[in-house]
Amino acid sequence: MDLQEGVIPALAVDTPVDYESLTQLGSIMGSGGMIVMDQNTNMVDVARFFMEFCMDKSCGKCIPCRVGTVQLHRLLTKIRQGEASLADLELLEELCDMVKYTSLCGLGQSAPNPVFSTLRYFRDEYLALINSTTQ
Amino acid sequence: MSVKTLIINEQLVSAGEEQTVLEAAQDAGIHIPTLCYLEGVSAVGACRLCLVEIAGSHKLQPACVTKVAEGVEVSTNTERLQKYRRMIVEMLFAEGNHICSVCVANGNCELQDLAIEMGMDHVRLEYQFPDRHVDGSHDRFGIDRNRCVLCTRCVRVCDEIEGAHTWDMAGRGTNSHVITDLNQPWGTSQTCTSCGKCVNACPTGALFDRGSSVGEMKRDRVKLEFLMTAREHKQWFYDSI
Ligand code: SF4
Ligand code: SF4
Ligand code: SF4
Ligand code: FES
Repeated sequence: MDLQEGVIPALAVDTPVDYESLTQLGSIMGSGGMIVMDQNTNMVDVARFFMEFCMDKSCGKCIPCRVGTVQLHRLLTKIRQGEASLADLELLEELCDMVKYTSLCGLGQSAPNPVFSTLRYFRDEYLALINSTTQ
Repeated sequence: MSVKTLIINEQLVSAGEEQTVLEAAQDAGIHIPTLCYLEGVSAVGACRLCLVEIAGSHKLQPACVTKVAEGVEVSTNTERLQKYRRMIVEMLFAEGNHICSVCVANGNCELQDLAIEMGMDHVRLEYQFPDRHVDGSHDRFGIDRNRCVLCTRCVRVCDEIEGAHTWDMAGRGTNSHVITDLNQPWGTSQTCTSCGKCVNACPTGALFDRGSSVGEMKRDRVKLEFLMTAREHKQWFYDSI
């Protein structure tokens, strides 16, 4: 399982599998592993799945990764359950930025990547789940 | 020892080559917020509060473990850093159970001071309400892990200054916690000398003298500093609080 997952949309299917091209798309080569998903997979679920992985693997030494992954996982769960507002989505993006730039090691620094890349290419799937009646 | 000149917040600062950015800033009277840092014991760069911006690098660097270098330009208090620091403090309040009004450290707590400094008037994150273990088995001291910020200052002081190494970290991620000996009750510890150094090192109300009531737990950090200057420089200054 490639931890530093960056999700790539179908229209980039011709991208060569090399370091430069994948980095440009906001993904990463890692060990070269790849998962193919169709339209039946919800992208918020994908981000949540990877966040759970990072949350479990966090060593707990630095605060942004130890607490940030838990908070991000909770926010993604809230969004998936249709209980989140636009303010939660904003907080999600703010947290991702903070965790990426303040974490001590590569695990925390790349934990927000799946959220970034799903938001970049599949933002509509997030927005469709936002509950406009919650504050 | 050669001298390095760097720029901190547009101010020229001279520092010894062995000094960290934090030490250089402190010597020049420039304040950088810290939490896991404790003078006299090794620095671990864990809390990330002391992160600073260095011109030409997009990576933020923890001032407490970053050595000075000739000509670098450091910014310690940009809007971005202020925002990140506020979020770190918010995270700590959401992660533990902090009810200051009934806490032994109320009014003498570094976490509380940080919240005030960062202007953190509310927490936007979801409170995690952990169920953490309280140990009152020691004759003189107690620990309420609900207030622990996992800074490891107790671990380092006990190991590096007292030489007892009673404390350690156990678990990982959100389950990290401090333990005494091999996770035995503190009161039954074979290694603890009851010196109280860990209690004096703790930034929050997690470690306390038994019998302290709300707001009564004041720390004597001077004692730790005194020990270090005595050992390293053979100088005996004691200026108790
Ligand atoms: S440890 Fe500090 S922040 Fe936590 S409850 Fe006590 S006084 Fe408040
Ligand atoms: S009282 Fe002293 S020996 Fe005992 S745990 Fe604390 S620092 Fe270590
Ligand atoms: S008990 Fe105190 S000194 Fe030890 S890790 Fe927790 S907050 Fe830090
Ligand atoms: S004081 Fe530098 S990382 Fe905690």
